[in-house]
Amino acid sequence: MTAPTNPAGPVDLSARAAAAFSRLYGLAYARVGPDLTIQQASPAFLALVDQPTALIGQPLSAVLWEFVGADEALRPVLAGQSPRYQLERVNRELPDGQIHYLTFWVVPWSETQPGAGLIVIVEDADRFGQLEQSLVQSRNELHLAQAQLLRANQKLEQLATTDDLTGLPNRRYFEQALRRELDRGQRYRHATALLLADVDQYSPFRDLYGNPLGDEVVKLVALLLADRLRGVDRLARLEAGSFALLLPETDLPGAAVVAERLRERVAREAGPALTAQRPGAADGAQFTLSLGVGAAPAQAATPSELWDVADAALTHAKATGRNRWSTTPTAYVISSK
Amino acid sequence: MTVVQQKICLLGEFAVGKTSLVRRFVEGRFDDRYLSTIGVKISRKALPRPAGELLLLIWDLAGGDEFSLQSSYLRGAAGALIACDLTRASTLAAFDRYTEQLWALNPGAPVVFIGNKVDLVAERAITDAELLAASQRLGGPCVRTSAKTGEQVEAAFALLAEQLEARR
Repeated sequence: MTAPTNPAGPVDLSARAAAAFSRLYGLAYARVGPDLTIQQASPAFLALVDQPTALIGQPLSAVLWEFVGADEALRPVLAGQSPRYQLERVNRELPDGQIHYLTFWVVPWSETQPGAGLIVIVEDADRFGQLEQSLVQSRNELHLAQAQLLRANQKLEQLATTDDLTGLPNRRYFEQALRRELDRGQRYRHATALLLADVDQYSPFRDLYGNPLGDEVVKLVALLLADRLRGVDRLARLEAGSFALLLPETDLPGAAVVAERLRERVAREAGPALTAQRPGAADGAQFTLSLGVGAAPAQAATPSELWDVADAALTHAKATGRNRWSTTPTAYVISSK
Repeated sequence: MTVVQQKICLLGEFAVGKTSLVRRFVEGRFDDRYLSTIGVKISRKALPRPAGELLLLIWDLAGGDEFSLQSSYLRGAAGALIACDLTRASTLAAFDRYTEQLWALNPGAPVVFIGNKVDLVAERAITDAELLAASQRLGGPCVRTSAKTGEQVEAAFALLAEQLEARR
């Protein structure tokens, strides 16, 4: 019987010991006593904290800020009640001037002798840290870009559907709302009313006093109209001094009541409000509204039919003297005057 | 002179400006580039206080859901600043989660809530009233800051420092 041979040749124990020692010596570690002061530190640890000497006997937390306030977490490890304490991905500038991602491991110095002390091992996980950082960076930038895109779309949507002067919805938005509301009204068999309103003699006023004052009148009338509506009603500015109102679940007589209330309010308040707001600009000017009222399904089945009905009623109101509301001028006429 | 050293954490969703707030407070500068933090970055700043010097160890923690906060980051924190980005409404909703995580390990630790990026007026998505309501519900004061202009950044840290002193 022959003794087994090592294919790599005879073992050089002293070389292995030297290699192991070198590996251990190259490790950044420090031994910490029961009082949490540093008892011993490897050269790599000393280089890491950029303090080649004068560490021995100092509290761990005085050498590594990462351990300030950590005493409570370290004591169970010291007492053998917890296997380890670890702190991952700590961004730390090392003596090479670069930020490294470090992991701190704290384990008992001796498994058989609780309370003997701790060993703090510092691992430079920079390669993984850099990779992780670039992944997180990409993900976060993607989220931010999505959020910006969403905001831009919302802004575009708002610009496309809002009247600049009054902040009210514009015709585009209103026509969509009218279609939706008529669909809903048909499904649930509810009436829907449409009011079209024009500020009487708006163009001559604007030509006489100028666009800025004309704009003030439009804003005032918009405020007076909006103030008296229900939450479900929709008011839009169509153009110049023209407005449209959508009144869900409102029949023709109900819409006529609303029209009269709005007509009366504008006639009473718009002029004095402008005088109070712009004294001397057009003192004594009076403003009135003509309104056309239509309702579905009593008078129309589709949005365009309803629009035509209300528009014809508005033309009738203007043709018969203004400062009034009117329903369809054909089969029957209900008028405020 | 008495020197007291305390650990505070800066928490909040990703890209709300936590690192920029620390940079502004500690180094007095601002950098427009966005670089995501992973893990934790620790900075120090000494604040002269009437009772002596308060040395703040500021733990700037990575924000976001996927890398949930490790308890070792929060353990031992004397207080925290929790920040949202006033231009991203979703970042305000995270106040609850961060406050809960902080208080689970450090019961009753003072918190100051921050609405950052107040300089981006046209992009505001969180109103003052919403910020105030969230901070009042969670029981802490709130400050609107801009790491870019420096507005109220010192004040936010000083407010937390006052609360830390009141608790000692």
